[in-house]
Amino acid sequence: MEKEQRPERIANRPDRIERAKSVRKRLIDTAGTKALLTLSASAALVGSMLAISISEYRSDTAASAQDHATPQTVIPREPVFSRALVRVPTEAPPSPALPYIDLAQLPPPPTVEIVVETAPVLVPSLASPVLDAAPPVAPPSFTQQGPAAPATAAPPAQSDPALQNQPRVVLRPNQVQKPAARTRSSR
Amino acid sequence: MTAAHSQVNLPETTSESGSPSLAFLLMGFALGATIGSLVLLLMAPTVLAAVAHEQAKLYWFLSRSAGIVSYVLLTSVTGTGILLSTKYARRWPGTQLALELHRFLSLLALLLVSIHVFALLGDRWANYTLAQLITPFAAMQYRPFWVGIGQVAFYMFVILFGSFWLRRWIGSQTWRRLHYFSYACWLLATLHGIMTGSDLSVLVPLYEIAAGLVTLGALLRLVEFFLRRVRNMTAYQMSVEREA
Repeated sequence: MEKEQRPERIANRPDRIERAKSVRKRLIDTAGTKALLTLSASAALVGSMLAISISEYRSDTAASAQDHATPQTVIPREPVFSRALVRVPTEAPPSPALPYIDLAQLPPPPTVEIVVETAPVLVPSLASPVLDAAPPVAPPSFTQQGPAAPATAAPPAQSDPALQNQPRVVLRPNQVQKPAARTRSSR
Repeated sequence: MTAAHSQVNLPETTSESGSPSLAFLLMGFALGATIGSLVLLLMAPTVLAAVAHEQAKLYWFLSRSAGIVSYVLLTSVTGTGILLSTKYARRWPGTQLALELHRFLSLLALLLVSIHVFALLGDRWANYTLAQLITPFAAMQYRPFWVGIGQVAFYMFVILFGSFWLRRWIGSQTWRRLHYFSYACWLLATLHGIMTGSDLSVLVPLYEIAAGLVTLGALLRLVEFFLRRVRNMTAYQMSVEREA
């Protein structure tokens, strides 16, 4: 380094000292800026948490009010972080495969007359002339309309016109009524 | 009445330098602690329910809000980095201050991203394990690909943050090449926020502003890079002609 440059270096020293002081001052000032940034970040964190919780509370309240108003089928969504429930319409569209049948328009079901015949009960004779003289008593026959005249071998005639042309099932003693054959449609 | 009697002896509230005395500080601290304890006791059942309930949402809210604030900080870090690299920081706010801000903002962002990740450990609805949070693309509960993108961005940010302290060993050139990945880190974080965020409907303006600022900054960086190259080449040619 030449001699004439040395005085310049010495002369520049105060400027360099001043510059170093200003940098130090600026660094100290940044401490306040850093504190402000930290406070701002914390306030933003707390504020956004409050905002999110309020919005979630409002959406949950609206959803529960809607649930109380009309019953709806709720299908939970696939794993999604928004915990709002998916709403589906209450009225499902009619299925085209199954025709709609109005029960009021169907004819009344046919009535079936069931006649149960029982065998005459023979009362064993005892050693009593009064009982021996009594003829055997046949039990009365019961029809669907209730107990009528004492039963005979033949079932009573159908006096009710509504029961004419209606199917009749006659159950006789020692006769097992076989169940109807199972078809595919009856399953 | 003499002047001495007329004087009201007030207790010293300030010291010579102007700061409040220790007694008042302690009184204020005691009062604040008392009020805070009372409020905490009153709110204890609510706080416990929010924290320890089976379906407590506190941790989920904390994670969401920490994610939003950390994204804003990450964008600020990227912005100050662009200011430093383009030398515009000399004009405002000054190179030294911009560097200090850049480092401090990155520290804050790293802290908030950590809260965003590890707060999910307390959420019973998502039920993340520590291994799933640490391992990229291992969390299968919700959109594993985009969550994994966010995890990769987190690790890139950690490396970029640590590279400043390792600059002495890795060298300036390696450090500079490593820092080019900061753009990719910011982009991955943006994609993670858009594709997995629960508050997307509200945060669209934030993403638009952030994308606009960073894109503009990156374009300015490119323009400044090419201008500098042209200037250097021109100066080199002029020096060659002068010597000739």
